[in-house]
Amino acid sequence: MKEFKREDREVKLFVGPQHPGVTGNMSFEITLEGDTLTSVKTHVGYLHRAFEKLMERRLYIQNFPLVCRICVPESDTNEENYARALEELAGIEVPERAKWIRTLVLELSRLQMFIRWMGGIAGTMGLSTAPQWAIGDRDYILDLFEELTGGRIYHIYILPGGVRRDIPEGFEERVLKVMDYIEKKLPDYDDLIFENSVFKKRLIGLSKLDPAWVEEIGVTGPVARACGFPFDVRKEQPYEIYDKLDFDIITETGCDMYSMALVRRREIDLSINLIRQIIDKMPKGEVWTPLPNVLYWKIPAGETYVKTEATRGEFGYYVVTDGSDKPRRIHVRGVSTPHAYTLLERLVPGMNISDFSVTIVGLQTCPPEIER
Amino acid sequence: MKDNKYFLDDRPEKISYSEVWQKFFNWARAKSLWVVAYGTGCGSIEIPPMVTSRFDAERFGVSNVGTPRQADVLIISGYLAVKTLKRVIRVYEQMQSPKYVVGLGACTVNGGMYYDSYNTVNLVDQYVPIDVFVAGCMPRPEAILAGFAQLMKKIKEGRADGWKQYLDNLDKYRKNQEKVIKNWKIPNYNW
Amino acid sequence: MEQTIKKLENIFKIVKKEKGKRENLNILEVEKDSLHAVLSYLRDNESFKHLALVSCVDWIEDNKFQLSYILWSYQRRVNLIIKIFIDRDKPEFKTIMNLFPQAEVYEREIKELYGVNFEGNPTQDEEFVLEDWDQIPPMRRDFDTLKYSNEMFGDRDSEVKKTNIRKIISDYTDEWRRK
Repeated sequence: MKEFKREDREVKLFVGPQHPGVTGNMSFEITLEGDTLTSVKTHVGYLHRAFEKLMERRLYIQNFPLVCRICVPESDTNEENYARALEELAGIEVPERAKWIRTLVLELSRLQMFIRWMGGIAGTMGLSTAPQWAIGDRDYILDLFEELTGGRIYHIYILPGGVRRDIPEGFEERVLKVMDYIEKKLPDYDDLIFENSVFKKRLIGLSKLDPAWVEEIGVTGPVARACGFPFDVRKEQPYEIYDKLDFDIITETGCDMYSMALVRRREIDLSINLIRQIIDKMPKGEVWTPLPNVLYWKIPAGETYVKTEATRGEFGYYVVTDGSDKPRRIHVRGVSTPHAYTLLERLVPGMNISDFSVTIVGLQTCPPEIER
Repeated sequence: MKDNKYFLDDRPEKISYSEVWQKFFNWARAKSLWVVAYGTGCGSIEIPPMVTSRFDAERFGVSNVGTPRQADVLIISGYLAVKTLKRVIRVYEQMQSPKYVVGLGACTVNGGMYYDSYNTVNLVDQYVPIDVFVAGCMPRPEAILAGFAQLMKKIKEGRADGWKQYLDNLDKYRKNQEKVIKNWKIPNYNW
Repeated sequence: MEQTIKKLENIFKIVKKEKGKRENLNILEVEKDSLHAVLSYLRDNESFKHLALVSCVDWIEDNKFQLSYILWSYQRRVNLIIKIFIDRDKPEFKTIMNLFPQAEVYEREIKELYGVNFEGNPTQDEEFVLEDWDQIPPMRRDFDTLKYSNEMFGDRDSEVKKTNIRKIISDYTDEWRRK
């Protein structure tokens, strides 16, 4: 009788890039034994646009249309990060009101991303009602963005020295109205998604991480907070005006996919709370410090690393300048890089194949920020 | 690749019908356009709002489908990296005729803001025939719907014949594709 | 933070100390042979457990590559950038995967985009974002991306191209800059 070796029982399967279960344009090479995964290999590069090379060729101000395209669903984080890095290197002071408006934009952006994620994970599990609701509700926030900045997805609203213009009249009331609406809808989402027995049965215990990995691999964001680590850049290294707002870091202790989902669900409440606080406390004043002629703007030599709490974790910009009118080097720390590579490789062995795409969506990998 | 028995290397044949049938087919095809779910670039962020409840593309017969075999329309949503171009050609050739391609965004027209990038192709229609371009960066869902309306009009009039041109000029397209994709490891035609 | 740097100075040779523009940012240049020792000392004794990024900068004028390791301490809330310089003609260094596992991907990226060889990294020769690349590593300063793009991908042969709109725009901006 022929003896079967382990290699004979294993099947290699290519998931993506054209695959409905994969977020964005990335692919995975998975090895299966029966319907159990044994290993995974991530392949990226399908969205590589060579941003870092192009930014070295352009003036500082010309890079703003480029940076917002680095992570497509959450463009404001990129703009704010890049603007803050330039301000730090050039020594520009930002007016107080501009900081508050920036924080408002960042929180709105975070809120729309989490609502979109909520639809995404439910859609991956076959609950097709939730994406219809979530993406429809997210559009109310995009409408606010359109009123404020003129664009739905890409805003180019945050510039060094402040923001492009003041918020329009009556905007605060409209923001509050949308917040009321979303808050009213949230119990429905809870019933549909987070209290759903299928959702709970599939996610509780799925892709359980070892809390020791968090510091070892460099996991950040909701994945780290689901393991009980209170890592949040908004508290650790408060940027803009987060030190003037009153909030606590959200943590769960389950270390599994359901805890990550709960962290993100509670983050939605927190974002709504923060937006209300910002609108309540926002001071009056200027929103823009005039820059020198931006086409002739030279920044003294130096280097810095600034970071923001994006929805997925710590999003950083490493900027090196050499005294000329173009940046020397800009390196973006994509949050998903450790998640999609090192963490996924450790999570996957022993997982059922049907849970694989749920895991990818649950880790909230965003391919354009990995490869840029 | 010649002696690999898993692939059929023949090129597809064209079947021609009488003009009356052709008109009937065109009328019917314009009413149901299924889009293959492949977000090739950042334009894919506006596809979910388009197909869900707010803009509701399904009232025009436009809906999403997971596999290229059942799809009629391939949306090239933005710039194509060279690595993606290879996959897009495979997906496009796997689709059943008649098939249509919609190019979203300024970067499919002439490279857009990535005109000097070493990894994105500038003129997508050199490699894959494109029936409708939707300009903008990125195009709003309304603009995409307008693009689909234009595509339907073209199909009804029988002018959306990019797939026929692709078969007629396959050698020209292949030459362009092979110039960019250096290691051509895929068969002559991807069935 | 000053105490930590003083302690470091006692053990290792620090080539250059810089204060960042921000309160909690420090930049240290160390010798390349002692980098592993510095990183493991900082990780084990000074709570710099989080490696945020490994980056590479091309200083073509000095014929050098700069490798930067960005660390963060959760307890002390301090950022520290450790940088070293390596020879541009012989771009070789050792991997830090044994200290920080996530450095594998960053090093793979640097290997592909700059051509720096990291000894001991098993996956560095695999393709990361590029496919079948046959030019010099693209992020080096002497690689001309516009020329490559024009040769490889071309531009549309149309009225717009004949009027050369890009030149008009650049002339216009140059004129504005001169004012």
